[in-house]
Amino acid sequence: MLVLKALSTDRMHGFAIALWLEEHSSGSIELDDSLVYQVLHRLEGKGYVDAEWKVTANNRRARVYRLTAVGRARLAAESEAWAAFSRSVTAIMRVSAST
Amino acid sequence: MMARWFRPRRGRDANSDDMRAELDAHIALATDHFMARGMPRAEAERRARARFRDLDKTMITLAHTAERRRTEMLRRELWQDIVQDLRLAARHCRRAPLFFAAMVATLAIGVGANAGVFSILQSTLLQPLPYREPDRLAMIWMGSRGDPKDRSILMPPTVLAWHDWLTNELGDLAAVMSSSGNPQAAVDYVRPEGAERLSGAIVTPNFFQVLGVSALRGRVFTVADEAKSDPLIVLSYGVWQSEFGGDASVVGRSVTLTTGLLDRAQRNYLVAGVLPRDVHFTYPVETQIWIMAPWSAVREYPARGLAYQAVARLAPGATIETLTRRLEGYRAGLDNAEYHSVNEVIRPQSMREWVLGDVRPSLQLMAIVSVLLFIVTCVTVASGILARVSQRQQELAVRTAIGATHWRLTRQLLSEGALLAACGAAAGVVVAAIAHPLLRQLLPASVPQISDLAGGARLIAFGAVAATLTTIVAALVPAIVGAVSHSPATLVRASVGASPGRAALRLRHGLIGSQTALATSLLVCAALLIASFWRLGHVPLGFDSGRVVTVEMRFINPRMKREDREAFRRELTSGVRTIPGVVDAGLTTAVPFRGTDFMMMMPSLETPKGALANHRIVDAGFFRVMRLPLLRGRYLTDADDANAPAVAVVSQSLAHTMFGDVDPIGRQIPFKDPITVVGVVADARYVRPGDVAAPAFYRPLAQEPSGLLCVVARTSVPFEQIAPAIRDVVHRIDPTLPAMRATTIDRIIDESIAGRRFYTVMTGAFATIAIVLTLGGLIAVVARVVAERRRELAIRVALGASSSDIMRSASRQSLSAAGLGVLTGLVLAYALSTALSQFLFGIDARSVPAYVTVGLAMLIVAAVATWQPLRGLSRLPLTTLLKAD
Repeated sequence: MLVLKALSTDRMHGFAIALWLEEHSSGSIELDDSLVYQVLHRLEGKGYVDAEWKVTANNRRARVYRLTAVGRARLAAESEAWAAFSRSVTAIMRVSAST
Repeated sequence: MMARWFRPRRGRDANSDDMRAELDAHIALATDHFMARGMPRAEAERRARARFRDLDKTMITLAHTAERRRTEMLRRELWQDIVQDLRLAARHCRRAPLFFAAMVATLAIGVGANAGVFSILQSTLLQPLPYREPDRLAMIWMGSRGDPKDRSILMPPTVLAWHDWLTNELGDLAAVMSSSGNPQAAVDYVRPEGAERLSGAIVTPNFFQVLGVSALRGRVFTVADEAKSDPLIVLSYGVWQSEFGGDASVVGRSVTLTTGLLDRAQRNYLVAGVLPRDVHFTYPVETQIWIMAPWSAVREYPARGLAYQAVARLAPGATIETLTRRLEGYRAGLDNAEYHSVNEVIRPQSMREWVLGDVRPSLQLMAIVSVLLFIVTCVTVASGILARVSQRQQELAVRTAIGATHWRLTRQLLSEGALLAACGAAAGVVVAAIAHPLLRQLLPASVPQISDLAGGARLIAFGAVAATLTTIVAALVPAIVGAVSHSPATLVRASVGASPGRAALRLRHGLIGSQTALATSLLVCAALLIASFWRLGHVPLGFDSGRVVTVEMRFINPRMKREDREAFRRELTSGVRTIPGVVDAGLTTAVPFRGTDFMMMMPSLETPKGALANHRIVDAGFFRVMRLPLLRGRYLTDADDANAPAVAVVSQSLAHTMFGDVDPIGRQIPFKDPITVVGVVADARYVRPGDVAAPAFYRPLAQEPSGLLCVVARTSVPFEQIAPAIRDVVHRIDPTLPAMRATTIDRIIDESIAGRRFYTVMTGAFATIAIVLTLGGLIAVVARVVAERRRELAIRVALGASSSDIMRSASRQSLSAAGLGVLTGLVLAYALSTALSQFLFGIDARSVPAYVTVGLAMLIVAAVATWQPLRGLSRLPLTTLLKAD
């Protein structure tokens, strides 16, 4: 979900995704970079993302990933599910705090 | 679908290279990132690498994942391909429902018929005999040197000697005497409510050990029983069920049986055990009760009239030949004439041959006929698919033009074939399942069914395999021969409606030809068999068999006094005569076609060698009931009693053999007490309807008493109404006599030709199917040819060709292919004729009229099939023909 979220903002290569996740979690998520690739390849297999080789701004070749339409729909569904889950957990946590 | 499997496996390496490059790029980008934050290069690179816990492991993990994903994708694609192919195939089938239905029907009939024959073969020829290592079992007979088919049963001294001579090194030998071959073994099961005649067998203690059979309940006899004094019996599974209700406690119980011939009496026997269900020894009449006779008893039995069969189990390594040689060697070493008749040889026979030898040829005939039909089915489906392909030439050509490979198109045809095969197999199994009970009914009792007719899973498996084989062969042929051409020429030809390619045409005509050939040869076989069967059914028997009921009442107590016996006879005939519906009744020792008919050498003053004749003892009523035509003199009468001069009636051929052209009436046959011939009757067929009537000699019962009595009665009402009444009469006279088998002579004849009827009906049915398929195939192909050549034919008409020219031109090739097929078929039938001749009666297997008739009939069928689609063509106006394009 997080990788899909990262890609929903822009096309990115693997390292950029790892950086994006670190930055937007305010450094609280520190990833093993291999995990990013495992996730990316799985998402690619399921058709949520696709990839092509491109040359970056600083003139390096990199495999750049892009969210597909299916991936976008998946992201929407997952965000919705997460929001619902988090709402209910939060609600429960509030109850237990007041008693 | 196989295309993907053949695709070079380039993906995996490319994938792992890609992955390596991606990770390298990642490290470079990360290094750039850290250097931009002021780190020196070495430190930046270290940091970049450190972000991976284990770079090498990552590589491996990623490669694994990628590989798994790839395989999964391939599998999914393969499945999608199959589904897509099948969907496409289904769409094609829906588009041509008639074609599809015709093909499925063809397959259903072909597969169904073959499955039926398969189930018969499976339960007979293909089944191992129900004994341990049955290949090591043999029957050993004596036979006359001159006649290789002669196999006669053995006198007790011979069996005893053989048993003594055999050593363990060669094997073991048991003796058996069954009631079908010898009255001594006839068994009546005595119960309070009446006696029941069962088929029995007397066997030596080692019999079951030799066969290698053990009991289902209790035990079988063993060599150890030799010394025991208790008379033992073993029951067959069938009689255990029918007479003892499958009661397990019957083992160890004592039952009363009437046994023996000369010493016939009631005795108590101890049931030692029950045989398993599948163990039979005699076919078709199963031996129901096995009585043990110790070897010592075999030695003591009076030798006269007793005869045994010998069953041998060969020791490992011994062969039938070594065993026979050894026995012959012993025999030659003896001076005793009893063992040493130069005219006789020891003639062994494998057990399998003994059980199946008689029916094997007819089963093989069935197998050949069904294989022929199977090929016809194959060819029909192939030519159907071929015609379809040529019809779709344009569509296929267009698909080729937009990039479909030859393999892709072949795959398409194969999946259509697979769909057809699946439907055909299903329909075929349904047909077989429907035909199954019918087949069971039609299968004559003389065919030894070692196991039950195959059904269920095995039948379905056979159906599926047969249908798949047919269709794949049928679908592959057009693909291989190149009917599915992907050359641009095909596209052009298809689009302008030109005639199909030469190869396709040749193939199509080849198929027509082979189909016609097979159908013709099948029809020749069927025609010959049907003609032969008809002749057999109409052969003059020499007597009038209509509405004659017989009751076989053999083995009346031989110790009965002469007067008592005569009284019994009188009571019996007069009792039967008073039954309403009985016109007349008589007695005889031999019923026609029943097997028991004694031969006797007639001494003669005229011919030094005498004459061999069947010796029948009858009463006066016999001649009236059988309506044996009287040619000279008189019939036997009631006046020919014990006090009157000894007289006989002879058959025409015996009169001729013994007395030549001289009037036989009043002449004497020089027995010890000379017998005067008083009448000559016509010859009667007595052994089998197909056998030549043998000379016969009739003597009055009052002058020559016999214990073997059969009632014959001519009736005016159906058999079912008479049979119980006759049984009542017998029971009233002597309640200890078992219920006897009553039947009609017509039924006996019917049973005796049941085997012939079976294969005649089957061959006829198969030939009919083959002809219908051929006819359909021919019509379809010619219609196709006409459709393809429409434009060309129209142009010809425009140029002034007459309609008969057109018809000739359009039909020439198909007709000549069919004609060639008919000729080939006749040649094929001629090649089969030697094998067929043993099944024929009264007609030559190379009968010219039969071949000519079948040939002409097939040509007419072919002509009709060819001209049928053309008839419409010649009547169409030119404009319609041209408009078609």
